[in-house]
Amino acid sequence: MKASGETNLRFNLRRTYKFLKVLLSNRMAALGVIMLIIAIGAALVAPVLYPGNPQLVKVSGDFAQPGWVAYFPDGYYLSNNMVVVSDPSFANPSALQEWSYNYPQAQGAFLSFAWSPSTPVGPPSGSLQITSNASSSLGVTVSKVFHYPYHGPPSKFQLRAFQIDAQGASVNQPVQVSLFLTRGTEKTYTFWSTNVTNSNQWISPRYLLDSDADQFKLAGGLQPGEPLSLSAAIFSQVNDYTLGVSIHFSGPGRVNLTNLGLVADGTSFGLLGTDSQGSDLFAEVLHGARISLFVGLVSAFLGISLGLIVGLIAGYKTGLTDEALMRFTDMMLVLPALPLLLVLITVLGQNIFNIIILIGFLGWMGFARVIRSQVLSLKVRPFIEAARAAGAGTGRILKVHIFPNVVSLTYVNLALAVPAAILTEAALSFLGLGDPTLISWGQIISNAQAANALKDWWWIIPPGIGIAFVSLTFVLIGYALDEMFNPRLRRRR
Amino acid sequence: MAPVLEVQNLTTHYETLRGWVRAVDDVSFSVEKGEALGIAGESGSGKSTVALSLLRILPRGGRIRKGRILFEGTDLASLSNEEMRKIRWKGISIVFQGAMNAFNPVFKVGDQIIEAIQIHEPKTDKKAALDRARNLLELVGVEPDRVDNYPHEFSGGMRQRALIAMALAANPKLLIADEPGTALDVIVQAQTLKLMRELKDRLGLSMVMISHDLSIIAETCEKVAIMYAGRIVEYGDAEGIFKEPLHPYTQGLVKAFPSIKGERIRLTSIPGSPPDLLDPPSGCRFNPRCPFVMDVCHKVVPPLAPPGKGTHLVACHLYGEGRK
Amino acid sequence: MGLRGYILKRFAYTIFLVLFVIIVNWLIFQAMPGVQGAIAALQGNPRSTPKQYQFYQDIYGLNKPPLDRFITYFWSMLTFSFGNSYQTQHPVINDVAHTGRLFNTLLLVGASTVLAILLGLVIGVIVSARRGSSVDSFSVTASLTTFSLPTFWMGIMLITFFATVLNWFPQGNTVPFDWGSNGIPPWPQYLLTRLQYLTLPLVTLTLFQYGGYLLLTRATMLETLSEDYITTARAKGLKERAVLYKHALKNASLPIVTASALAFGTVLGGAIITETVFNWDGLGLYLFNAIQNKDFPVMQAMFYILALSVIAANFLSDLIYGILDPRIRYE
Repeated sequence: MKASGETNLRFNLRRTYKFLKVLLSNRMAALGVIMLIIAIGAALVAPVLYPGNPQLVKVSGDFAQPGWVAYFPDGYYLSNNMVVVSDPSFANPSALQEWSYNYPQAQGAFLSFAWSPSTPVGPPSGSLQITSNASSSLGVTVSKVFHYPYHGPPSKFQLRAFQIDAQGASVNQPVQVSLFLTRGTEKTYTFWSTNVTNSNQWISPRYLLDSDADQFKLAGGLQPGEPLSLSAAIFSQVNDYTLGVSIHFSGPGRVNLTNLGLVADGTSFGLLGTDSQGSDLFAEVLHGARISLFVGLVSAFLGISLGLIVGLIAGYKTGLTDEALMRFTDMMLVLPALPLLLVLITVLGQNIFNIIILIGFLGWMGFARVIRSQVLSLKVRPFIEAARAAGAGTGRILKVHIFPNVVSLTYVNLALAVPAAILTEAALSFLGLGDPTLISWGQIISNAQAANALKDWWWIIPPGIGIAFVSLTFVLIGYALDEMFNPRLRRRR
Repeated sequence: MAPVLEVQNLTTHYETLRGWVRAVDDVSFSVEKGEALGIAGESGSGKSTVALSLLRILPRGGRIRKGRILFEGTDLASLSNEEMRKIRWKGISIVFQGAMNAFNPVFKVGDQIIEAIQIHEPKTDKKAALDRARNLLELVGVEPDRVDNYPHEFSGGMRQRALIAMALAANPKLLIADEPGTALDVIVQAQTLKLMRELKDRLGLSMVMISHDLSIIAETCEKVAIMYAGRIVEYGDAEGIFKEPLHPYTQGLVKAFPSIKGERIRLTSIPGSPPDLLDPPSGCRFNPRCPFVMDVCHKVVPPLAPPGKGTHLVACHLYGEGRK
Repeated sequence: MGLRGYILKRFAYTIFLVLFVIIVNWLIFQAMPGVQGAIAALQGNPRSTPKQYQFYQDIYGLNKPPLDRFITYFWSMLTFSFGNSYQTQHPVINDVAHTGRLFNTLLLVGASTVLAILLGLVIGVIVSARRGSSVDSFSVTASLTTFSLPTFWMGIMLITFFATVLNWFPQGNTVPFDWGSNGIPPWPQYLLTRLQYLTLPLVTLTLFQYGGYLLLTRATMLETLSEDYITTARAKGLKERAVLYKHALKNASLPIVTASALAFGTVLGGAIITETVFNWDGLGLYLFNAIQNKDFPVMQAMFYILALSVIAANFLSDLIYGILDPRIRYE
């Protein structure tokens, strides 16, 4: 018994090997198999490279173009993400070395700069502590010069929520603070300036230090209704820029400041740019492969299995069973599939399992008819009659004699049902009836349309190509299998 | 008088993914006016390919690679497609097996006959062509009113007769009959053959009859060519060949059929099967199955030549000495 | 049996299919969550009339036994009185038939189907006669590729390239917006403008269909060309073109007729997508908007009408089959 099991296994392995060899000798099928390996690779690699839902992660400016566009003439004005300050929250004492400190030479003796663990939020952040012992007023500037190398402005920029705590400040002896950015030596934008009059209290700007926020725009000197964005107004040229904070002591005092940093979101990012939320489109497209393959394979398998069962029974049983099953098949065939799907998904809810099951349940009829006619022609063949005469039961005849003869048809139709399911899922997602919790290619394109970004080719083209790629994979394999197995199309050898 | 048809060294091969299938190799024969030639052989021996080559209606991949087909002095193999098209049916027409799908199922039988007339005589109006179609059906013994029927409304025997009627539509000089009556029951088959013999005598037709059935050929033809694996192995007048078959293959073939004269002899089949024509045996292609095989049979292709005895030609080394 | 008997038999079967669709449509919408809520909302809606409320109450309301509701529903389906749309407040049947929506969809689906069949047939016949040639491999590969392209994406690409970049065609819509206010221009301009608006959606829906027809034509032609009667036709001295287009194509067209009817439901699906992408004011867009707004009367009516048109297409194909193939009348 065991030995026969082993030979069976070996026989099957050899048969599979031979089948693959024949399959791969067909150019179309070989191409399809290579494409399939790439698609499966993408689906497997996606959660490893980008764990979690990439649509929830902002990686760059909204609508950023792919990074490589910068190498083309069109990309001259593109910028990349830029982080100006490496340790904006002064987590390490070494953060002090990032900054340069300007003050009148003569007063240097009254000033000291030190790192302090004092912070409004607690470790790991710290702060920069500036102490002045001068009895008269004294101005200090803490600044960092950085080079902005891009010919175009960033999509937007953001300052950290700057925080300052002034010991010994009072209404009589206020500490003047202003946060500024200077382009070259010519123009200075002051984003926030205030007189700190309370001692021992962390103070912070009351508005978002974001180039898109209205109040911040005003503070940056942009009139309301100005079409130019603040980031375009400031970063208008390749130049050295200075980010800094100036502090003016009215008398002796001590300030702690932290959260001093600037981040610019680029107008180009990564391989495929970003969507309207600034999320990485390459990560989204990679994740989309998972859904497409999953939906395609599972619902095709479901539909083909149903079709196989109905076809086998209808073909083998005669009379009422056959008639009833075939009439039911015909009836299902006249129901227009996509409208029915749209309506049913509205009824049953938009989740991936409903979608898979519905696509499967609406995709068995054609195959059931193919199998039935095949069984009808098989069952009058002598070897079936011989088996029946030898006393084989219905189940055995179906399993041992008929099923092996329709396996090749099953492969062909399975391969051709997958792209149909993939395209249906994509269409559903595009129409807004996909699973909203999962990233699929159709949904990515639908998002682009919702964001009115159909002109953003880096957003539209890759998911479309993804769908076409995976469908074509199975179409090629299916078509090649059909040419191999279908006696009508088989080439003379 | 020159023969109606003279085939010289006809070589027809099929191109396939695995190479050339040598379906017909170096075949020569001729048909005189009013004469019937039978070509006999097992299935796959190339006899049907000969028929299709004569009309140049070979299926995909089939190509005449060598030889001449002289029909009334013109070499058909070298004609342009358009010139050849005009020879078809008017010069040479063909009767296919009646059981096959030789009639187009979606057109009326009459219309298909009329079509054949009008291709070659475009001036004939529809009415005259219809009259001729009715006459043709009557000639072959089918009710003329059946012109309006579709092929599936005909019985097998009637369809075979209608096919003969259609073959005569353009008054051909040479009629090829490819397995006529095969797959019909014996009585219908006999009727069909009788009809063909009558027509041949009445219309003075020359004929090439192709069959695997020696008895059919013996009944109808004056001359016989026996084909094996794409070559003619024995060729000459029918009576001589059936009385005294010389080639071991012909001998086997004759033994495999009940005697024409009704003598009770034991029927035997020839052991083995025809060779793969992609890679046929060298020398005589019959050598793997031949009971009298000699060394020379593996090396040299035996020429079709008169043997020492008998009246016909044979391609066999057994008779080599007699030739010298 | 003859042709008439055959037609009668198919017609009876068609009636049976219509009944099935009516029942399926009923079952789906009985199960539709939110229908009850929508009826309640209708009661509170000042724009809806009591008569309208009564209509839905009679079909969906739970205060009557199911059989009564079914009979009311059944009658409304037979008389095409589907009630009013929640969105437009007009009777659904008016929205469908008297606003140009039906015409727009018929225009788009009809023209693209005819175009796709013609293209598919002609190219399919040409390549089947040259099997294995580079023309053959190219058109098979091209068909397989268009077959794999998502329709909506194809539409978006066409818009981007031909409308946004080249500005040859409008980006969408059925007719220019200003026709509403400025009136419809005289006919030559009217026709040209309509054609301009029709082009891109037409191309999209044609590409959606044509690959299937080409592959099917090629496959059935290859099968037909190996038949004996084709050899007979050649032997008769027919010109190759007559062999292909008269003898082979008539036989090869039989499976194409059946397949095109069965594919009609899929084409309607493609039309929904195309109309949505191009904002083409047809039945597909109407259904799409209804789904977005949970406009149940429209959804129910549209599903019924689309299913009816598939049934009609199947009946039509049965008729054509009966005329083309003499054998079927005698089975």
